[in-house]
Amino acid sequence: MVINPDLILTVLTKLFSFETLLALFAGTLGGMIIGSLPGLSATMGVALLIPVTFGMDPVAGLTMLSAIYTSAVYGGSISAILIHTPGTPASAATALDGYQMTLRGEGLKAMGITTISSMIGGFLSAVALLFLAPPLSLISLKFNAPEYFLIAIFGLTIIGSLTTGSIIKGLSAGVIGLIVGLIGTDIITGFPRYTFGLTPLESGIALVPAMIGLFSLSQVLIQVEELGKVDKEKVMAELKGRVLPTWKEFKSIFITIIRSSILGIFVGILPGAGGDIGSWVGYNEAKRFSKNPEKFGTGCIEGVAAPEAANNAVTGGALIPLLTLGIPGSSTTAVLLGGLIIQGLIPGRELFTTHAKITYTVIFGFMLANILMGICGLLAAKHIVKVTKIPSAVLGPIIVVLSVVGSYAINNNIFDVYVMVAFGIIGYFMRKTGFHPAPVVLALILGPMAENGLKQSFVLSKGNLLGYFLGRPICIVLIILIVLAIASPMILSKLEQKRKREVQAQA
Amino acid sequence: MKRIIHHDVYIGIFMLLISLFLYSMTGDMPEGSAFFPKIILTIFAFFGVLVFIQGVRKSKVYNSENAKKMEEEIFSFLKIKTPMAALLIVLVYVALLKILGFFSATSLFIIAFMYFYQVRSIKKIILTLIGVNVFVYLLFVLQLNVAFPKGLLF
Repeated sequence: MVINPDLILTVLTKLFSFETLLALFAGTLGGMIIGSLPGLSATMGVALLIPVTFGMDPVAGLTMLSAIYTSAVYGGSISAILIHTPGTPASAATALDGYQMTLRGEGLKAMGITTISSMIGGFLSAVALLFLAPPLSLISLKFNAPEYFLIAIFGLTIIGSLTTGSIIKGLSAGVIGLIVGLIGTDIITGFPRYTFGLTPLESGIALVPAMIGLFSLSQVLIQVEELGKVDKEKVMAELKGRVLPTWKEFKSIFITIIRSSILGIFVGILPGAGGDIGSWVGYNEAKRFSKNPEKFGTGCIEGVAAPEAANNAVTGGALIPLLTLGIPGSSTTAVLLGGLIIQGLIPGRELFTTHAKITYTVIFGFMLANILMGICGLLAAKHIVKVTKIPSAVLGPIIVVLSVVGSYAINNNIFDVYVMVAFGIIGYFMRKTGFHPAPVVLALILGPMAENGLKQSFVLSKGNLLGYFLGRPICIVLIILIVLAIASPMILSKLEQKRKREVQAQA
Repeated sequence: MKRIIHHDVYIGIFMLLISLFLYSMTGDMPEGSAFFPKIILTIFAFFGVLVFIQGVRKSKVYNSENAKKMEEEIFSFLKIKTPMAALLIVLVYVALLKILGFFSATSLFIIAFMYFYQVRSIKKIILTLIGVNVFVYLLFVLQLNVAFPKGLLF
């Protein structure tokens, strides 16, 4: 990479402007609060705040969104450790050892380790983003219609197979997103598909309102179910002791942090695999490599450091395919894509050439956000956990109002509010019956990409589609990846069943 | 004992019906536009059949003595009365937006939703109400120049 002094100077001036720094700080603190509230995930926070960034300078807006992303993932661990309730799914693994430490009276130490691990994981992923994204974006120049078609299919298969629960339902959720993506005027023929005579539908389903509905409104409805049940008193152990680990402790977890960070970055790059998967991979690998794996689950510092470094490392990793190819690496980045498009930024090589100033400033801002998150965390984690005391009776109506305001504000269009509510209902029923809403969003983005790619490939191939695909090296790699993505979960579940049977046979 | 039918049976049938209905609509489309929907809907129908088969299998397990081993909860509309009531409040709120205007509808909604959530402290409700309205006004109206529907009131 050629380092251009002019570019660095512009980046620094943009980054250290008042608006950007304010947005960065607000995003970091806001993200921590959103993340620590059980039920509010990073995806939801970003979806709700995209409309706010709409009127902002692109640099400030996108820096804020990426700061929210990483700090919400971190914030989720605050409540996981201190009140045994993961604030976001990405922190479920942290709760295992983190809460045990809190019970022992080492809550503050667990917080310190979480903060440092998250900061390092997030920072390293930002570095990876800075160095991997520009060269990878060159690949996008080699991408033509068939490659875009295949990578869209790859993204769809991998998200279907990686979502927890039934593979069939995961893939079905993706197809639902594809069907929704059909709505609107077909670009090539100009025919309005599935609009049922409604003019606002001709431009297709608006992405951001649909996402707000799927993730936010449906979540409020899920939480309403708890109404009337006796509230579990969230007991918080007394916090005492030092926050910072000793040098010896830090040295003992350093390798774990680095390993988890690298794993997290890779999981992040995979389309569709987000922080929840990243943290479990980090935790399991740390346990496997550990000299004393039996200590995991009893409150050991490695068990806290491993998932934490991994889930924050996922954030930067997930931004790599997003910025270079427009393929979201996690459900949060799928939502972030909406934020990019609103600012008129289309992922691909142009982000690193024409829009280099904006892109690099946002990447450096993301790096700074991770450091800021660490500092804020060390200073304020004790106080932030207090926000988890806000009752759902107050939080529920606020989220609904913000969902309505956000969907409306994007186009000043009341129809988008109806779209949001419709998707809220769809999202709720999907979640109740074992379908996950994340593949829907991903498919909404990838569907049109797949369709246009396929149609153009037909034209380019002059009839021999298969031969055309097989004559392109990148296509062959992608086809192999797709086959692996479909086959691996089936093989894994077979192996799992076999293992279970063996265990049962022994018992 | 009443025979239990797992919800996947109904979902599978529903998925099939949806794909048939949408597929029938591709008849009116020009060939270029109909091609991709046809592929997707065929796949969706296929998954519908798979979900249906899964549902039948799960139903069998529920009706056998292994029923206790199943972890998945059976979905039923009776169990989700409360969320449906909440949804109704949201639907009324959204319908009122254009009629009453954004800020009046929002205030009414917050009162109704918090009352529904069994909040009886007037102080809490009023504080939330003022807080949300002021926040939205400062950020969206003053900062981002969003023109909310005005309606009859404001």
